[in-house]
Amino acid sequence: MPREELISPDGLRTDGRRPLEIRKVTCRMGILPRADGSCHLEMGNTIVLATVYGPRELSSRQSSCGIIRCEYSMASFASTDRRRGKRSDRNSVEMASSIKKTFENVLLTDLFPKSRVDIFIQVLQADGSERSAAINAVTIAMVNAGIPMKDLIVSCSAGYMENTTVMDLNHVEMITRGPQLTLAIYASTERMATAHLESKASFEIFENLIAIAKKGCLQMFDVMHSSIERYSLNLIASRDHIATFGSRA
Amino acid sequence: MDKDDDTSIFVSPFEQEAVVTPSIVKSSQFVAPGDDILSQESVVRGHGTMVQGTRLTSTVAGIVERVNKLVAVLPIRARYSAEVGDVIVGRIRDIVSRRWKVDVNSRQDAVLLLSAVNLPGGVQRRRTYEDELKMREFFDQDDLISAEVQELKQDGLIMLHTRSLKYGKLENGIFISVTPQLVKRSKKHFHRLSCGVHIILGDNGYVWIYVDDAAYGEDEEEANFSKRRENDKSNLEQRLSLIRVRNSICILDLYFLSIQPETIMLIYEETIRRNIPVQHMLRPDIINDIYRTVKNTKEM
Repeated sequence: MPREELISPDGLRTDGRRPLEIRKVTCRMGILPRADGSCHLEMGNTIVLATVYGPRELSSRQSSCGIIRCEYSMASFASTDRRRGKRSDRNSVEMASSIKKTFENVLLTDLFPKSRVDIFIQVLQADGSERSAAINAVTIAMVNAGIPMKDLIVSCSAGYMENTTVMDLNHVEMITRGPQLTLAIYASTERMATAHLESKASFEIFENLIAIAKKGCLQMFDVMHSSIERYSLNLIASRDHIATFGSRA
Repeated sequence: MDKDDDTSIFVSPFEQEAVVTPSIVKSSQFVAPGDDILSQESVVRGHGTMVQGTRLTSTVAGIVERVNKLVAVLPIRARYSAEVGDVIVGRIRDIVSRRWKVDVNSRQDAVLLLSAVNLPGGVQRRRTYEDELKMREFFDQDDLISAEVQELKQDGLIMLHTRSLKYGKLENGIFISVTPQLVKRSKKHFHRLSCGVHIILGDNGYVWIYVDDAAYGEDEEEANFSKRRENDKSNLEQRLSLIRVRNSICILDLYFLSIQPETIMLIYEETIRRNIPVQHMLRPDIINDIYRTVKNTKEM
């Protein structure tokens, strides 16, 4: 094969991870003060910014439960070749509608009738697994906006290459076009929310991919949950801290 | 002073600050959406909770509140959810038949019926067609008003009223929007700060800062506009303190600090003590400094 190997003889991947390791995840919530919820999520070199507005007035048509709108775009500087970022290209539209469907099932839309929630996703750096990064970022932005939802949705990708199943693919691993699965699950029940498979895979490989992706989701959940908790406790502490002072003064 | 990461647009001032020890928080339970809420067998589920099979789970990120058997989770940040009797500040968004649509930072626009406002002159009578035509003279689009929540409809629609002399159109002041969770519901929402500035702390997180009109003299009209201008000039001090209050509230909001007259004055007095000019108050290094001092005041 002309291309270099994806998994070294020592069992390490191109970026030095073991097959069942996710990349370093850092997330920051509430960074955009004008939005109701926002999240800046980094998974390795993949960086996604998700913004949530709402629930807010829905002027056009009446509905018994809230509706969700989603827009996905990739910055023109996000990948190695510079291209004009278009919101209407086929990939983005597909991505937006699949994310919209995922969140229609998890948000308690009947609690905000006649309102809408707008989701804006921007990929600032694309280094593989943008779909799962986007889903994770939107989940956290939803939490940040205080929009009621059944459960946290966490997502992770898995791929099959050179007889190994690996989780959380990076760009180099994604362009091999092997069997790749992006899985999103409900964190506490581990039920499947979305699955997106690219290229054909035999049944055994597919099952393996699901199991590995699920493991990755749970790893992702730990990171996300702890950063939500840290952020929230910080806010509460800050609010209560000065409030007790105010009442004493 | 933090000079290292001030430049990044994605760093909110809150993040730059070291962690405040969440001592108060430890006693109560924090939950994220989907987390189990620890509870006894028979509970009444309140806002922010749902039953999934045998589990009682949270739907928002917040602290579990228990009142007898009622279990609820209050979200840390969310849009304003109205309760009857709340004092709010809102902006007229639209005028439709016999009602105003008011933006109150909620899930949907609130409604102010023509029959829920005081007519000028204080007469009580049926609202006629002429009144309907004159609606724009009371409140026009983009006007700010203060009002009270009269009723909540089944589908969450908020009905407002301004049937009190306290409420009505807001003019000659500054508007600022903050996180609604930072404003506590209290008996009093119209405050006079010790610096002479008046504020209306709307429960919906909209705040109106103004100088009491009585200071100008009430009978002044457009006729002696020039005189009023002069008056305004002499009130430069007053205007600056108006802006200083506004910036103080802005700082409180940025650091997620409770917004009450006491806390506003805390920041206000701190900036005066340090001789910080109004226009520099919101510089990142300065707000950080002020915040630290105010935070340490508690340990006195």
